[in-house]
Amino acid sequence: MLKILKVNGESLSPELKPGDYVVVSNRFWMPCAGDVIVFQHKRYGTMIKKLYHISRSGSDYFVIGAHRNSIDSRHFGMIEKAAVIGRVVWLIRGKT
Amino acid sequence: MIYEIVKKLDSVLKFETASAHCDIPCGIYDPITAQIAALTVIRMVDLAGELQKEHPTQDAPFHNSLARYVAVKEEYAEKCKHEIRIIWGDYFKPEHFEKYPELNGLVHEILQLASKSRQNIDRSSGLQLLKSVNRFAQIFWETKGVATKLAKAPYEPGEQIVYPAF
Repeated sequence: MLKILKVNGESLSPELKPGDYVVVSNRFWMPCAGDVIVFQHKRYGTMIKKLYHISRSGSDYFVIGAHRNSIDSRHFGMIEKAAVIGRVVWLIRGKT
Repeated sequence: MIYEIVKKLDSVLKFETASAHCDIPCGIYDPITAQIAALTVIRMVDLAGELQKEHPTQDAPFHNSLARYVAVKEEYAEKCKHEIRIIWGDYFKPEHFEKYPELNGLVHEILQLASKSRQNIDRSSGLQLLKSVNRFAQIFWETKGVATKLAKAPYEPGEQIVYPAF
């Protein structure tokens, strides 16, 4: 499955900026720290963050943003693997 | 070109948004919270000094109040450092550091003075902290093209602080 989404927000700046597009895939993927992933959060909706840590069981992920004020696992805890839509495989950068 | 194509597709297909959610309304900075924190440090030192006079036997109420004043002094000295760090790290740009070469040294001095204010219960440490934070505030407003004025705060400890002269 491939999906295109538009980035909104600053928490992964300067790597990803508002207005950039990302192509996301969940095929042939062994998640590892450093992957930028898209997931569903019950309160914040569709979010994009960097995968920082995977639980031993592999079923929960700790995600963070690059910005000091990012809303991420430091606030809402680990996310379930089932909530993950996929990882970013292609970044289509907007005009700088 | 690829971006333009995707953008056109977005206008038609309305791609879903992935939120790289950030907490604060970025762009809102004001050194007043650091200045108030420095004033609070001085106020707590003053209150602790008054306590000595009111409770010469250093009874239980003395120790209770002193512990609370020290706890607040600790909290606000650290808050002062936090507020300064945020403005220094998130607001100031390279052109500001070029125009005000004292800025990095001033921030370091503030952080050290705030720590010193935590380590002792001495009014002069708090006054030095306030003086440096006031200079930081002055620079901040100057970078926004806003003139400043020095005025006595309308509450204890009644020390002078830098205000923007809007």
